[in-house]
Amino acid sequence: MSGEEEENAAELKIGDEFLKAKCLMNCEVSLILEHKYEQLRQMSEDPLNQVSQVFEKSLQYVKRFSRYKNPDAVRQVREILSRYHLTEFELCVLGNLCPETVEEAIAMVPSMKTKGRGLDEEAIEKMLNDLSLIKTFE
Amino acid sequence: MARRRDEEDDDIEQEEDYYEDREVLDDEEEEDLEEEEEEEEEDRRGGKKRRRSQFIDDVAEEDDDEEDDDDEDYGRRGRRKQKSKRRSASDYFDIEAVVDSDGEEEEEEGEEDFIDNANDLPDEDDNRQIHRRPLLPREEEDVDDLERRIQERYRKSVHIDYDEETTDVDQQALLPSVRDPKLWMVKCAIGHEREAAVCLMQKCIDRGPELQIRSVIALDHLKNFIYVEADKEAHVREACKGLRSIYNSQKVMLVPINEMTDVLSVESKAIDISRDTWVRMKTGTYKGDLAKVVEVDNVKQRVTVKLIPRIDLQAIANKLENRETPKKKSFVPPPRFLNVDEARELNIRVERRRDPMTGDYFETIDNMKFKDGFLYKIVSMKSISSHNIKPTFDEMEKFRQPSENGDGDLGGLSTLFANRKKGHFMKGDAVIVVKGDLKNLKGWVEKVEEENVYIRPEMKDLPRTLAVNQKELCKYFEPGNHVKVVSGTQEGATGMVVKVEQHVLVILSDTTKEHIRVFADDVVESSEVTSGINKIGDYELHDLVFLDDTNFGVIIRVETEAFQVLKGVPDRPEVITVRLREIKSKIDRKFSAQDKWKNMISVKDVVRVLDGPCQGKTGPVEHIFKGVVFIFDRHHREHAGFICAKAFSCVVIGGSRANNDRHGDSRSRLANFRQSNIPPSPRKHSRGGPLNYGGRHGGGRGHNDPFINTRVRITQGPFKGYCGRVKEIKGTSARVELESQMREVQVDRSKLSEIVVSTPHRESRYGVGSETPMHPSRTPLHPFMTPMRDPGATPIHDGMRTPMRDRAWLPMSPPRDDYEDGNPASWGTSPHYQPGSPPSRTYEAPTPGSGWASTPSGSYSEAGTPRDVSSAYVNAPSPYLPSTPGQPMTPGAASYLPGTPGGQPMTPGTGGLDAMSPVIGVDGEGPWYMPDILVNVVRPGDESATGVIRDVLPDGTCRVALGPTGNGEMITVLPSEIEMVVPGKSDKVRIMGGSLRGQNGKLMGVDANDCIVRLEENLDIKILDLGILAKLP
Amino acid sequence: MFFHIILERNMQLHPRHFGRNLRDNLVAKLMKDVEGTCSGRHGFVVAITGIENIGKGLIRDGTGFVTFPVKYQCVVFRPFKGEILEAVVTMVNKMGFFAEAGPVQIFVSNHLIPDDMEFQSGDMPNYTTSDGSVKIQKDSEVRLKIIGTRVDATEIFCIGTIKDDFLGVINDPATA
Repeated sequence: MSGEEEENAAELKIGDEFLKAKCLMNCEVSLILEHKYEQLRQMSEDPLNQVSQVFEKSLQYVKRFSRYKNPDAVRQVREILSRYHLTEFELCVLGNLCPETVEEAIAMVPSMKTKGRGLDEEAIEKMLNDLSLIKTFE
Repeated sequence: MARRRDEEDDDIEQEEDYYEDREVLDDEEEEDLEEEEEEEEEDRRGGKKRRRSQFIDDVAEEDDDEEDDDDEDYGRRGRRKQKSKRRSASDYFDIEAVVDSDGEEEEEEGEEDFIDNANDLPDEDDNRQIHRRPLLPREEEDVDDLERRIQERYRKSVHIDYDEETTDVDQQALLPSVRDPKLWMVKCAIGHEREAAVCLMQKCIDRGPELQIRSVIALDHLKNFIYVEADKEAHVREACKGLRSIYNSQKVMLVPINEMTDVLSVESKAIDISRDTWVRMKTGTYKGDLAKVVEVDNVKQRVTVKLIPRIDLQAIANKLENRETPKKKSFVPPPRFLNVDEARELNIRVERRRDPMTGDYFETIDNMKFKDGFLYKIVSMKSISSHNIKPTFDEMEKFRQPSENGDGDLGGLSTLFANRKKGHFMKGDAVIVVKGDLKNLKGWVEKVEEENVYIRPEMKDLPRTLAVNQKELCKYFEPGNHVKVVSGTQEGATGMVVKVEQHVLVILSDTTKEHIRVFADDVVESSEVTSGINKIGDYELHDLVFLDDTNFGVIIRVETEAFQVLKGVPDRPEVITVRLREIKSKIDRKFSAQDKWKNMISVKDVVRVLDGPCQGKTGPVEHIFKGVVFIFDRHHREHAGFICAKAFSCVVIGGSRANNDRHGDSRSRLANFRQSNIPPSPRKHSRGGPLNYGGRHGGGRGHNDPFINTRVRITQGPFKGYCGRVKEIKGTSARVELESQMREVQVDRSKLSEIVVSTPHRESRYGVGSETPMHPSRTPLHPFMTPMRDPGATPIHDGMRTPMRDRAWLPMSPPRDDYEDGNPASWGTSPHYQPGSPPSRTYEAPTPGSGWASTPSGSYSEAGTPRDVSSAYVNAPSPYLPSTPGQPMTPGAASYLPGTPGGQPMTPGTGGLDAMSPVIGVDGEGPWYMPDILVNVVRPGDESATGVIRDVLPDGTCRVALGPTGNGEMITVLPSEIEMVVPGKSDKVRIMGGSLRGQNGKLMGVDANDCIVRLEENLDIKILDLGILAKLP
Repeated sequence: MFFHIILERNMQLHPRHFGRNLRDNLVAKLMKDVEGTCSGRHGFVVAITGIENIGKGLIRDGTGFVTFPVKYQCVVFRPFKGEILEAVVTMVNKMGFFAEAGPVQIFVSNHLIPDDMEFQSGDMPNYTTSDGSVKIQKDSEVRLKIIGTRVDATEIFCIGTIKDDFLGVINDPATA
């Protein structure tokens, strides 16, 4: 198959459906799944029995890899990142991985550089700084 | 030829005639098939005083023409003229010599090369000829002649060019006939054939026309002989006189005309053997080994190859020290690099020599040359095979090891590829150019023609499509591509590319998750994932197999060469990959196990895991073995849904055996039971009973209070036949203290029957219907099915009555819905039952006899159908079938049907229930008694006595001879009054149930409820349930 | 990467579920059927968060079942080639190591592990750098890049690499 159609997240080739879809960061997913788990727990005595393994594993994963625990912080993160011209996908990758340096950020989300959307180094640096601020104040 | 004729009219008239005679066809049409003919003509002409120059010209031109013609002709001809230049026309020769010393060389070389590689020569010759041509003066010709000749020549050649395909007829015309010079086979010194041919040629050159031979041929593949073309044998002998390599006294053999062409046929295209080619040894200790060519000596037909040595240092040491070596071992030492130090340790003399030709230093041991651990050996070209060599990775790796890095081999690889049959390129393949100016250009295949592949290059500046030779391309893959291997050893494997190393790809196999190395040529991109096979050899997906004596497991995934097996280690899921040969055998034996509450778990029962990491999981049991159950949970993501757990840490869902009823009721309304069927066949039932386990119980019974402390007999289940006292009643189950064994068991209320003297009929045998179709025994009438019914039905069973009632209830309760099957009664071991599953209905038929039988046929599937099945058996109570869906089961019911896989309850046996054979041994004690077994006679009022059954009467009563050996008085008892004596270790037993019913054996040991019995007749060891064994006196 | 998308499915319901609790039954069945499944297109359906719309039910000919087209919102997890994410190592062997990122399993072949890391077998097999500074063993957290995905009938399997910059063991959890 020719490489043109091949999906490649680094170039944001992930299919229309997903490009337009709402992307969720690990911390956000964590909130959602926890909430659901609570609901189940209230309804029946053995919630673990009722949920699929996919759910369980996902819950464990997002709990472990969430950078921000506080729902407010999560909201702020999203807000900050939305100020820049980023796609949902890129936004979430940054939110999940929280790069520290500009170089790292570009390595994580190569599409930022190529798109020519006014995301120069300065802007990226500022973005990262803001993110780290939230972390410290969480 | 015609041309020549024309030209040489004056000289050659007769020849012309000759030729005309000979050649029917127009010569102009074709080049002669055999140069021989031309040569003959020429030579003949030459014999006379031809106009040499012309002749020469002709010859030269002729040659030119011929050579100009496409190679095909040359190829065909094979033999290049070994013109013996007998024409001493010095002019001719001089001219040739002067003009073009190449000419002679050409001839000589032509001789050699042509003989070897017909293909190559033409090119060389062509070039040379072309050179020659302008240099040849044509002195004696006049202009007109010259013009005419030229015209004709070119016309002819053009013609010839066009006329590529020489038809068979044409070819035939060129075959030698009686008037052509003959071919004589001359013996010469072996290995010196070429030398002899060259000598003869030289002689001709020197002697000129005196030598009357026309040509000499030395074939590579024919040792010891050369062919000489001449008219007479005397000429041959004359010519060979004085040659060292030809033995003059040897006879000279004539080659028959029709075999003359065979002499020169070229069989296969030889591939150039050049330096760094990969070859394989054909003979000797290194036969089959991969070798790399280091030097080629065409003259001597020898090559120097590099091999991985297979030497036995010890043997060499022994030899050098003149020690006794054991007789030459027939085994071939394994290939291993030579370690000079090792050799020195063994006191083998290692010399360091310098090879004069290459200038390299070699270590010499015993006349063998080594360098860098490799053995350098000079072998003849015949003993190596260079065609289509496909070295495996291992071999190539080995060659790479000691010194080289990948580079050195790259060259080797390329030649390798050049010589290999290449895979086909298909449209859309990603390729990369590996040779030539465009090296490293990536592109995609647009179109494929014979040799050329049109690719669309990746770079923008290049034209849209480029034509590239197939040999210069190689398929290209990137990590992350999913591919499938289509040729080679790993054919059929699929996986993802992990790494690309020039021609080699490392793929992570989908199935075995291991790395496979393959050539890029052997794979195509594909999204197909191999997993389609479900079966390799005897083993299928989801089979329970023995890995070795202690390990066993369930196959959860089948791959091309291996299986993934979930080991039977409860609490710690362990998956291992095993190859087909590592599996010892399939486990076919059906086992049963007990769950936490001592309920019998049988295959297809739905259980829930109570302890361990998989706590809380539920699912039907697929396999049971040695106390370990394998549960299949659809929602479980790992291991294809299989969970391994200890039987003891599970609980059968639905409760204890009492479940049986449940099923029954709902489904099968066994209404029929009522019918008599049952009673009559007491004997037959095949155990019926047991099934119910399935546990699903349903019903809750509450009554039985009055039963506490009553003496009851268990009519179903593993303890069928045992008597005991009811100690406690909990809902539908009761705890019964067995009289024969020192323990209490939990039994479903329905399975108990009060011991009332007068109940001759069976109890449970028939069917309990509900449960497992098999049993019709339970109470035959039990209408399991009819939830409501019951009571009526039991006519036969007395005891059962009550139970039945209860049973009726068993509503199939919705909970059952959850299970996919519902299996109600799965009998413990019966594999299929789906107890309870709606299908059960089929049982209905209480048909005692059928017992099981009924089930299977029934197509359960629809719940309703059951009935038909039963009919088959017996009584077909048919009525039963209650419309299943509706059945008592209640909403759930509907779900069952589909669920239960055919399981028909028990049906396994079907068919015949063979009356007694409940198969899986569920509780023994079958109601069917057989003569000669030891029983305890229990009559109310009497004390129990032992006796031997002598006779079993049709109505179920037995004649028992009292006394431990059956010597006492004969009494007639009802089956209800007797019970089998439980055999002990080392007792002689008779098998009362199952397929082995009736066989005698010896009880070797007991393990919980399983007994190991050695059969008398064939000394087989069988594991059976204690219940079906009866002691023999 | 987790996404929140709207999917649609036709649910078949048996008439016995009709009645007051029709909707609940439908939702329950939907959850049971869909949650935990996986498709090549959407990845793993982790959880259903809400029902967007339930269309009119259509009775199927021949059977009594009724088909409802249901639109629902759910959280899905779909790994992409080229995506960088973090995962937990679950098994290490000489071919490489397996890591899990939520429901998806990723294999990192030893060819795609930096050359200075070598396999050490033993009780806790691991990959360690020559100076021992970095270690990858079971339960380590690593950041990797997915280079290929393959969808099976029931799961998605990926191949990843840690050879690029900024990939590898996550040393300091506090680091962003």
